Amino acid sequence: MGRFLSNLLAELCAGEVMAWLPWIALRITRVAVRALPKAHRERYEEEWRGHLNEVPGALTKLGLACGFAWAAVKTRFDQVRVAEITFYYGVIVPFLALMLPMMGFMSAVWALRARRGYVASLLVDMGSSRDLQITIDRIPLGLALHLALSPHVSLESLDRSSYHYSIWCPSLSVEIEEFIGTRVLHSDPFLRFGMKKSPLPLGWRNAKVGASRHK
Amino acid sequence: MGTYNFQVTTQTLYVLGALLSAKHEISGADIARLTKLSSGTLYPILMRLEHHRWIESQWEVGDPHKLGRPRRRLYQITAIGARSARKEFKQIKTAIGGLAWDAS
Repeated sequence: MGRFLSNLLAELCAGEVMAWLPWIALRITRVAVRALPKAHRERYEEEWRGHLNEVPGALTKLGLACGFAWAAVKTRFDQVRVAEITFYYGVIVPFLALMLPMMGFMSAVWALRARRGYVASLLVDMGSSRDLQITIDRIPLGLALHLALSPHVSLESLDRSSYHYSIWCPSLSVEIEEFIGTRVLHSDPFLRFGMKKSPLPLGWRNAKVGASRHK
Repeated sequence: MGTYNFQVTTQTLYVLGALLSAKHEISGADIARLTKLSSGTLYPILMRLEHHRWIESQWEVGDPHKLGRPRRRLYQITAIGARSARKEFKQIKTAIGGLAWDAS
């Protein structure tokens, strides 16, 4: 009797489960459709329901529905990957291609400028037999480069307050002005640039000298 | 295999082969039956091929209420798809021919 009842109960449960399987398959399909991108949802809901309808057997339907869920997940991943690739090649790469060389150049300029240890002798051409020489430490890089490229720089240009080297090194123009002011000039003075010492940073140079002394 | 915006896998070739051999438009269920691919593999391939215009699809003619079932989506290969698929098959044939030659 007990065996009969248990068999009956198992049979009933199995029947119940088998009856529920198509419904579960349909629910899984709906969930899968919801996982798809919005533009595809309506189409694939009908298409996949149609496909489910063509397949016989409750378990096969369940397997098929699980496949739809997997397809939806894969499609979602594909979409994310496409979006990532688009973002990467459309935004990140051009940005880096533009910014990295600029950043490199700017950091190099900044590092060179920050040293401010360029030693140079400025020769003041007085237009007479006696030229005067000013040795100025800590010339900013911009001025050093400018003077190297243009050997004759008028002092007037350095005197101008709007002159950008004055902004970089305000004391420089004042220093030159004071130096010249003490002398009687017969003609317009020019600056001639001649690097007598090493253009390497002072700190590094001193450190090297210090190290050799210790030996 | 050729260089496209997507990977032409063996499964993709099965699908293309099924579509090439079909004399008329066929549904996703028919393709699954012909290729023996699971729905989880088949539909992403179909989506990809359709996105790249290798295949095209349209709804079955008829009202779902009158048909008494959901409409089927029918797929067919496009001219571009057929040309590309034939090229792929030709390359595989050449590669297999070369292997057979090497083996002998």
